[in-house]
Amino acid sequence: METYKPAINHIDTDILIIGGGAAGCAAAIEARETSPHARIIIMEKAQIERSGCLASGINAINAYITENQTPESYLEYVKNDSHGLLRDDLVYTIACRINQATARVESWGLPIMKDQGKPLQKGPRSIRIKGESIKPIHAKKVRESAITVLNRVTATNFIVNRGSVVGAYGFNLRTGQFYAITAKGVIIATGGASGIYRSSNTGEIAHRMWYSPFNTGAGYAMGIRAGAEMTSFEMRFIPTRIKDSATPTGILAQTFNMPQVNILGEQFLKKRYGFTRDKKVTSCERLHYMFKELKAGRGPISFTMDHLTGEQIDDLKLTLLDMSPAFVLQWTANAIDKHQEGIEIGTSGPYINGGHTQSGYWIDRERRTTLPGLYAAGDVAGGAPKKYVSGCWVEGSIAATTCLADSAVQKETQLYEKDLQTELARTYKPHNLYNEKKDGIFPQEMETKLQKLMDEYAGGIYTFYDLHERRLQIAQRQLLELKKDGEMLLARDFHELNLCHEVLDRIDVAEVVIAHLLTRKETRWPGYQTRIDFPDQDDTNWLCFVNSIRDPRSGEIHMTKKPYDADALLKDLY
Amino acid sequence: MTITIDKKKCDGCGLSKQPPCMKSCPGNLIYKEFSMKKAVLRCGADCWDCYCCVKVCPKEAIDVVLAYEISNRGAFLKPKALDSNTIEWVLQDKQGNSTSYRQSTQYLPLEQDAADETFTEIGEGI
Repeated sequence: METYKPAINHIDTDILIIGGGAAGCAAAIEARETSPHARIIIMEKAQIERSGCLASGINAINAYITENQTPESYLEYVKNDSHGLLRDDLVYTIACRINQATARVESWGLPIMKDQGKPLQKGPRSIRIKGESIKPIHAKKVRESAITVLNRVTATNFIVNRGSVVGAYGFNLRTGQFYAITAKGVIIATGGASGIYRSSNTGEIAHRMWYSPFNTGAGYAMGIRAGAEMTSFEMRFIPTRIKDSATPTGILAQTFNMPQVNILGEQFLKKRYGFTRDKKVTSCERLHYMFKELKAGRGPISFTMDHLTGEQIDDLKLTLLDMSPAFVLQWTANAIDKHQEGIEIGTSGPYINGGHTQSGYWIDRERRTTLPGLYAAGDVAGGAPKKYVSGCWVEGSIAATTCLADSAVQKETQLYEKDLQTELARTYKPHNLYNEKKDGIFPQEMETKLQKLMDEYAGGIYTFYDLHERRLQIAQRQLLELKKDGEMLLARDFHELNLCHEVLDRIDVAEVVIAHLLTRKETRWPGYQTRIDFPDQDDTNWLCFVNSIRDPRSGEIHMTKKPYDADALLKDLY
Repeated sequence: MTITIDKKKCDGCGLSKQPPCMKSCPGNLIYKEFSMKKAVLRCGADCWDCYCCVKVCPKEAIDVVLAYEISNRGAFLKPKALDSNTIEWVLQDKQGNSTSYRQSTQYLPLEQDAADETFTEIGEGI
């Protein structure tokens, strides 16, 4: 059988943005506003009108400086929530601009709920919006800004010349056409990674998850393969979510004041663990103490809603339609009502994520990655937890500004034939293998195997998310075997070819996750990263970042401890 | 989870190479079977139940179906764009009681882009 020969599109541009979600769109629009004549391309795996985490919409801006808050108080809150370790400079630069970024998206048409002219608060640092069409609104602004959008083109690797990123390769997952896009600057904004671990839901409902199942860690994997420095992959994100539907719980807890109780009806966080209004539980502890209750046999944990009026329930359902319509249907189908056992809480994940936790590219204050020519924004960028949608907008803007300034002095962007041929061979290999002998492994099979081993040995729900050195070593060994099997992947069509690259990307991410989990020999974030062999927080040795670089030649992962110095990070900022 | 596409209602949006459902799916899970003039779902288990395709279908042919393991049968939820600023959702329980919710939005139709013009279906094996 002849080797598949795709049509090859070589496009040269000034700025290439990979990923057209909140961060990518904000970056593109900022770049256009700063530079009216720059050539700007967004490479997007789906269609920007409904791509990324916000496909269904969202009902709140979860990072916002409300009346009683300041950027300083915001930083303090996030730092406490992240157990004392984060990139103060990144969080602070986000906090200073989140309201401005929100106002900007409001000017594009995003409806923000108001109370006497002021944004209506959802919680202490969040506001409510009518965000069903948040993605179409972004897309409309992008289209008005003369930005080229390549929909259904998935990125496979960066084009790297002598250590600098000068573009990216990708292919159209419907037509199979290949793209080599050279650029003076590249902004990576592909989001985080789901599907590294087996989901709490499996089989037919495996994609009933909170994070987008289509955020597959491509941006991380491309950076890992190119030798970019990554941070904090051991801080996994495992949110408590409405059981089965994986719907966010914040709106229930904060806006509708629904208390969390165990099977005995106890508000266990207060009664058993002493958390109060003054001594607040952190995000990871919320999971940790819920599982303590489950292990003690006092599950399930539920929200009670006895206090809600019919009118409030209708308001809640309407709000949920802006983000999780499927849960509203499930609610009705199962006739959940306030006189029964309430709304049960489960978990979703673990996810690798830089927008809620802080896993991602190690970047400087201006959002430069460690690879010249590459900038990172949004969930793929590390160090700044709880940035949420509005933080992604800010990071997109900062990355675009830096990228434009740097690209004014950027080097030549040559595409070498040898590199192109290497990537072509790698990209279409599963398709060629299928045409050649039809014997091998389908990506769905490999994905399931990856998720199973990560679940059972690298701290999935199978072990209550707990971690142990020996188990992690088993995961590491099994993953190495699995990685070799990557050679045997088969793709019958281009959609399946994309699934092949998704699982290859996930394997590269998983390998780094395990290396990080093995390195941090303390429990920094109970719930997200509980080392049962090192159960305590150890500030003497581990109040530092764990970073990694995978050697692009040898494939070896080198781990480093980055000292943490909050004062140095905040120098000249405030 | 999954959606159903009503074969009687779906006409593949006529000559369209990329019907709105296919265009809006964030997971690239819908394709058009040109010979049958129908939109087809690739894999139910890969669906995120995001309702993006349901909202844009001009024939109201698509429905989200929750798996029986987590949801009883008999209820339905249907969105319909009333105008560019309102989506009306009709929610019905299995007894037939229905409630409607008016969602204010900035409902914007999917726009054509250059990629559509050059779009050709050369996928193999599907």
